[in-house]
Amino acid sequence: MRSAAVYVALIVGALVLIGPFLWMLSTSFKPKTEIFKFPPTLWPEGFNLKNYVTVLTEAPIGRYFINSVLISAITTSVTVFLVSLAAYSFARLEFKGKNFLFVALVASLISPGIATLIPNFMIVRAAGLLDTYAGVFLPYIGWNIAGNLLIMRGFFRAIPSSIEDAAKLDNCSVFDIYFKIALPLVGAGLATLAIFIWLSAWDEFMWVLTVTSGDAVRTMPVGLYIFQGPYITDWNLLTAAVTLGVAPSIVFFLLMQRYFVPTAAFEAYKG
Amino acid sequence: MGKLRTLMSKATPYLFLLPALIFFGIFVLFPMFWSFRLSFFNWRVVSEQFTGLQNYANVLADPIFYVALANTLLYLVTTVGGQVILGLFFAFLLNQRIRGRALFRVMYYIPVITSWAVVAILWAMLLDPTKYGFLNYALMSLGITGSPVHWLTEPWLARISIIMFSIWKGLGWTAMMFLGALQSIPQKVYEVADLDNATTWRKFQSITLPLMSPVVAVVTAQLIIGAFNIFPQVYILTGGGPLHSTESLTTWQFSNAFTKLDFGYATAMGFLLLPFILIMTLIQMRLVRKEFEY
Repeated sequence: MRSAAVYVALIVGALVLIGPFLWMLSTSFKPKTEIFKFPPTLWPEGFNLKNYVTVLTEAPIGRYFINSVLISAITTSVTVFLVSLAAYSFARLEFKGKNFLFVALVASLISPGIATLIPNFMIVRAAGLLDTYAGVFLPYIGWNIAGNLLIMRGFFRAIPSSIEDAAKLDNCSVFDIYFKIALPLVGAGLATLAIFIWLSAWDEFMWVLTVTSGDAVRTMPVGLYIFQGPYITDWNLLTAAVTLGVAPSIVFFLLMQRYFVPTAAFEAYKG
Repeated sequence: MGKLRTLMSKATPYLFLLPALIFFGIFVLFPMFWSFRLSFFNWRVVSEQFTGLQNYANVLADPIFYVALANTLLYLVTTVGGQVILGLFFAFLLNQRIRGRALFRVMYYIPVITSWAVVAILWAMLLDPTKYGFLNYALMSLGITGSPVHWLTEPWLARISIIMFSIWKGLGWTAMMFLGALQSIPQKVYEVADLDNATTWRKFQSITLPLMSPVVAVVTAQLIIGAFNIFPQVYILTGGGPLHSTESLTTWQFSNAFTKLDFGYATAMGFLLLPFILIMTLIQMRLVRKEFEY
């Protein structure tokens, strides 16, 4: 009896949380004649892929999708590499000013919200990078340094240093030790970082809204926001477009589930 | 050769840091100082003029700032409260001996990993205040209401919609954070309590609650900091309207910055709020330190 109540509550919760996605997915495969059927069919009677073809060919959704993939991929690969280099230095090497830099990084996590977006905008505009890929992803790299560096530092510190010490005796260069020995041992950390950064780049809305004025470099969130208005009655097309906006994150999540450790920014403060 | 080598080995740590610090400096550190400076200037596209505390005075004299502040506090209290309470509730359920826990975890986490803006658009379709919103369409087809409900165009319904959406989006995260904490409580502690014939309530009170409270505190602090920056849900669902009635601090800041191009006003608003965020972050850092010291 008690366990039945637990299941009922959990199922109701799950339906509320994924119900909108089920409606979205189902509607995106329906012909326009079927979308207003009530009660709605869960499995589309006239199942077809036409809506996807339409939004990808007759609307710039394909462009937005490619832009999102490119921008997220560049941001993720560059940031993971730079952050892992810097985090290795923090975790394993000795240098002057280490404590000062550490405090500066932590302090930067306390930011006056979007106030700092304004100078970012001024920098990108002054560099002539408005409406370019670089104008979108270069700041992402900067914004993703501090928090991720602190997390990555933790991953490096968790591996035993004896292996690296042995390599040091063999006269390996510091870069070789980092690249060939330490890096392969923190694979899980790199995956966690890649997920965080990919999702944050895919998610960013306000910045893209600010620095783009045409479709050339617009990403999915902003593209869909602009696309939705005139299509509000075309549920089938709009849901197909929205599905393309959430699908990569969900697929990514299902494939890499074991690295999706729910964490909070606070993990980073662990000294 | 030897000298060069020692020089190189001294420089190495900095060379490792350099690329990351360049990006950090240009896009985080410099903007922080520059936005502070901007908050004392009357900035125009072609010129700028030092005006002291004028921007701060303007913010404090602006009635919409107080609307946005009140809304942000409302969103903060309701969304943080809702996520924590429902998160605890579902974490306890998921921690029971049940089948399909892995599946539930996946389903609960899906809203968390999808893009804020994209799912806000999905919700905008569901809540569209005309008869073409799916929810209105369903309610009207069922004969529950004869005319469309003004979900996003009536001030209170719009605020409630924003709050519901925010809780829906974040619930999975709090539930998983709490579930992780529940699972880290050693089963032995409960077994010992069972030997003493402790009741379920007693066990909850003297084992679960004290061991959970640090995590609850940390999650709450994190949610509060996040709630100060509530943006896409308001911007996409209502645009801050009708007549600024759902405006949050961030949407008001954004429209001042990028619609009215009043950079001074927008940055001053950010720095007026900084003390709150600073205090929350310091509390959070203290809590974390405590939690991991034992």
